[in-house]
Amino acid sequence: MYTLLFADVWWAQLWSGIISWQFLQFVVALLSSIGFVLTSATILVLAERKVMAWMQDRLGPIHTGPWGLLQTVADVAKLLLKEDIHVNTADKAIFLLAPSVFLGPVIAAFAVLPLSPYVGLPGTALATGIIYLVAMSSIDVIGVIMAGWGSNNKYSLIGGLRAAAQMISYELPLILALISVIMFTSILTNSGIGTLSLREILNYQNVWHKTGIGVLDFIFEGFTPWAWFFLVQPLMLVIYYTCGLAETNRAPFDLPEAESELVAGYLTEYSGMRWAMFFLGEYGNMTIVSAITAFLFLGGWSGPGVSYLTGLNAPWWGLVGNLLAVGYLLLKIYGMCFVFIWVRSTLPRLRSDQLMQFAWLILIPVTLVNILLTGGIYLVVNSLGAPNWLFLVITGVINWAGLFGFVQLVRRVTASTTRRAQAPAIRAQRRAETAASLALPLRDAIPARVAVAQSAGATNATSSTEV
Amino acid sequence: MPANIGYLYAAIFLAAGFILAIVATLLGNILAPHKRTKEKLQTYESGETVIGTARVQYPLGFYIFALLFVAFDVDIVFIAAWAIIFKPLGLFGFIEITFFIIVLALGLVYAWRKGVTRWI
Repeated sequence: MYTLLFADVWWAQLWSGIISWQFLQFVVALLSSIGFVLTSATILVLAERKVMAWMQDRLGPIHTGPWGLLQTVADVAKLLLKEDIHVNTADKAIFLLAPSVFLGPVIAAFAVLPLSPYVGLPGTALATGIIYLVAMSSIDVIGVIMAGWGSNNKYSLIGGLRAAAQMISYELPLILALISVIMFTSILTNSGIGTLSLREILNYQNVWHKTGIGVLDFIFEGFTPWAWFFLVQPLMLVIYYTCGLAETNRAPFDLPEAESELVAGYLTEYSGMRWAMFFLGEYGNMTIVSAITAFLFLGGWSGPGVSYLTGLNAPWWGLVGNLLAVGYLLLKIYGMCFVFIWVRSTLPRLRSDQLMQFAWLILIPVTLVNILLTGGIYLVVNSLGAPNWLFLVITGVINWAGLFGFVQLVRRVTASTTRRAQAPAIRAQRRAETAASLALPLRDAIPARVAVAQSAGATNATSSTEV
Repeated sequence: MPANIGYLYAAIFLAAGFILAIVATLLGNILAPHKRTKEKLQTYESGETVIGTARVQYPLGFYIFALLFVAFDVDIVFIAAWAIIFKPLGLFGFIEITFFIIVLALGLVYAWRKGVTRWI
């Protein structure tokens, strides 16, 4: 492709480049991944409404299509027909470009997601897979800030700044939580040089050796749940997922778009398709966070039959194996998305002081300590001459213990910060109560101040039912 | 084929995302009505008359968080680079990174004692 760009006879090169098989493959992959983002968002919107309805014992959308299945299609049509309003005080260029800046990185992140053993862009071979994904998700912050600033609206500005502060704070533990997985890839190879590529990290979660027994090989080849990294690093999975919630501005971290205080945050002035682009980007981000979780901790596309069928060297069975792989991956991705929705309908919103302290004082120290622990345990185990699996077991046990400790820590910290935050209000309430009980006793079950005001007003009135 | 070809593809994806958003909004603009009124073009302020501009002073806390973030983010790139070659570096690399992380943690403790994370 570089020779294509800098060739002497550029048009001839370009032509041969365009009609090449590789280029065609690329175009198909590009279009299908854009299609995947669009479809995925459509499905997730409906799924969110249905699942939340189910959890809250409601029906959710039922009128559009069978079982409400066409609801999002109708929503898209509605959004297309909505007037696109630019506020006259807005900073036009920034206001109009913000959705693009928000959506571009989301689409770009899909370039490195391998979908199955065969289907994958050349981008999936990027040596910097994880770092690239995190970098793309941090570009989103710029889109959010542009939306907040460009709208020239107080709600938008506050929402945008809050979102930016939150997203950059949670990005640090997000990547720190993945460092231990990168360390595993270094430890588990013979050469000692690890990898950042999602596709190669999958290989480390496969420990199956061919046994020659057909059934066992069919099920477990490439599918070894006991070697998936979530067993070794459950705490890091939880922390990564929590940071993913904060990165995508989802509940309980949805302070930037808290309806009760900020209307819709940085989205306040957006309408129609521009607003839909933000929505699309948000759901795309959800998919990416779920996909990274699936790849790093849950074995990616691996499932019964995938490696066996693709390893047969028969094209049709290979195709079936790939379809199975895509199916397993989507199952895991949407499973994680389901947890997103579940969390949303379970947890109340965090307070803003808890939000920042949680990232900087709990998550970052915990992840840093975990990195040191992982390294330290390996060096000790290795110096004693013990095998790698023993190291993984010890790390796993410590990490599971850490998970329970973490839950306890969060519980206690939440309780204590809540008590501290509520203390002034409770004190004021008590003061008011004592003052009220001393000066103005309740009269006929009407609060004292109201009763006094009423009786004061009643002196001028002709008739008073109260007195 | 050069090894870095993936970045070119990624860049094309980025551009495609940009264009997708622009095309979708243009499509919306073609289909949607255009009935501008003075009230509609006003900034939304809960239905009240707009008071002043939104470009006012905002808390310095945001700025300090951004500074902290830049420092930590650069450090994390370094930690990631160390993590990839963790095994060959062995004990030497581990001691180095321990010092590095302690210095990082000291910075965090300093920011914490200064009350940066107290937010509001």
